[in-house]
Amino acid sequence: MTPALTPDLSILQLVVHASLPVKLVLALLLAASFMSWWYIFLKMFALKRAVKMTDHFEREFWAGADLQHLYQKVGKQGAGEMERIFEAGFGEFLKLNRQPGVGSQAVLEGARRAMKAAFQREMDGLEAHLPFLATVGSVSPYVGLFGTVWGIMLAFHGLSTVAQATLAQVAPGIAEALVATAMGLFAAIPAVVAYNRYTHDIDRLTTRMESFMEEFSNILQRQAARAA
Amino acid sequence: MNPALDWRGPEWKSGLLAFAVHLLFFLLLVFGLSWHVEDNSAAVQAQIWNSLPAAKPVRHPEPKAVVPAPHPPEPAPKPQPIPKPQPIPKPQPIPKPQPAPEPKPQPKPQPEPRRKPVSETHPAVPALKQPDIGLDKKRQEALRQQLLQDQREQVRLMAQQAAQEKLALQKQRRERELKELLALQQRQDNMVDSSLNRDLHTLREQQAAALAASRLNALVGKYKEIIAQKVRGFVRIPPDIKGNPQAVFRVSVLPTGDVTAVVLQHSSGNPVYDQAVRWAIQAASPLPLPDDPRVASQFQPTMEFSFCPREHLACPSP
Repeated sequence: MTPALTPDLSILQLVVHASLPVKLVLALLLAASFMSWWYIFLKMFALKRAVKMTDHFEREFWAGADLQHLYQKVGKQGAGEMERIFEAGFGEFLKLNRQPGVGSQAVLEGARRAMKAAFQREMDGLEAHLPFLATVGSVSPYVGLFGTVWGIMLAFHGLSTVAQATLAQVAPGIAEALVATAMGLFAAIPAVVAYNRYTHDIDRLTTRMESFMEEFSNILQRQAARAA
Repeated sequence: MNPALDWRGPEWKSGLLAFAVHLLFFLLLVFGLSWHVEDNSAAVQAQIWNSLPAAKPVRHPEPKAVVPAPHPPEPAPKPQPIPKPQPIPKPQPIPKPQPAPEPKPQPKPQPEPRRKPVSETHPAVPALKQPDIGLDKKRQEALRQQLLQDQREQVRLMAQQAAQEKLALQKQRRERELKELLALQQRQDNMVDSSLNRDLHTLREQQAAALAASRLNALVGKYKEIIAQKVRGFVRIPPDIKGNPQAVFRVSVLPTGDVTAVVLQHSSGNPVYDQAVRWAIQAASPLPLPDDPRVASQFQPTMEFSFCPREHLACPSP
């Protein structure tokens, strides 16, 4: 094959000499890798921000601040996930409380439902793009393997036309084919690591929000009992 | 609204970061992993060179027009190296150093004759005055002192002369050495030229032979390779084989390709290996023979079969 004759074969030359399917596979993997890294950084910033805001809000909430005051403050500034849940739940509670003829149990149920809905929305936002990372992590090694198998097939096919088969004639073809596997692993490993890390982070955030919802429901129940 | 505004910053930031990660990766690949296969390619070149007469026609059995085509352009660049050695500036350095040492000896003899007459006149004067000395002691003393001075001068001059002669000798020796060196260089150049010419001659002969090696040769080579491949499948090479020894057999073949006799012509030096190849030839018994009777005549009554265990190494020619 032609690369065997060149004295210096670098990665770039290998890629340039690769066959079209291998090139396509490499381009696909490069795009997947770029997107997955993009989402990795995006999620990293988003999750950092979410954890920071949640910490901040929990501290404020459990410091014994007035709920009405907190509610007004939340509406003004850029809110975190937990603040939006609190806003939805407390807003619904106030609205229902103002209406006559609604029992305290119904008011609590309404506030709970509102919080649940807000929680679902927030979870959806937090979990966005994670399936893409999972897909890249699980599929790109296979895509790379496909490119490698194709390249090795071509390398051995090229051998069949030669009377004397030597290692030097196959080696460049196999090397260029293995670049595809390397690329697949390069795309997959960070995606898998990031996926596992982020699912764990989101799980922790979820438990915090769920326990907050329960505790806040208890507070609302106490308020409703006091009012009644 | 709010999330859209919030995302815009991190989106750009993470996009840039992702780009940076990939750039880093590629820089690492390009500069960290630069594979050099120079040794390999050299080995490949050597292999092709050694097997030029046999292997070339094998690889181009059908495109016969292609085989002669690359050959004519080859002689064209080869005459070029011949004129190159001729204008090589080797004769030029010879005249350059020669004029340099030649003027040197000329000034040296010049100062010698000039000073010699001076030193000869001085001793001649006191020699003439000596007979008159018997008259006055003062004169005698003066003369003696003069004599002593003259002698001292003479000694000094002699020393100077000796030093000059020594210098001249040294220069002569250096010149001689230089000349010898130049002569040696010239001889070496001549030798290189002649060896180049010889190489060119042999190259041309090889080319002529390759040109003459026509369709028949190509087919014969191809079938030799096919037979060798079939036999190779049956050979069990003993593990203690060192290098790439060649075993040569004379094989008697029927027109059907059946092997009737295998006679060892030239042992590889390892009897176990010889035996393994003999068995392999017998095991490969209906050998694939060409249909063309003219080509088959090269193989058919008897043929010489040489075998090397390692096909990726050059076979040592018997």
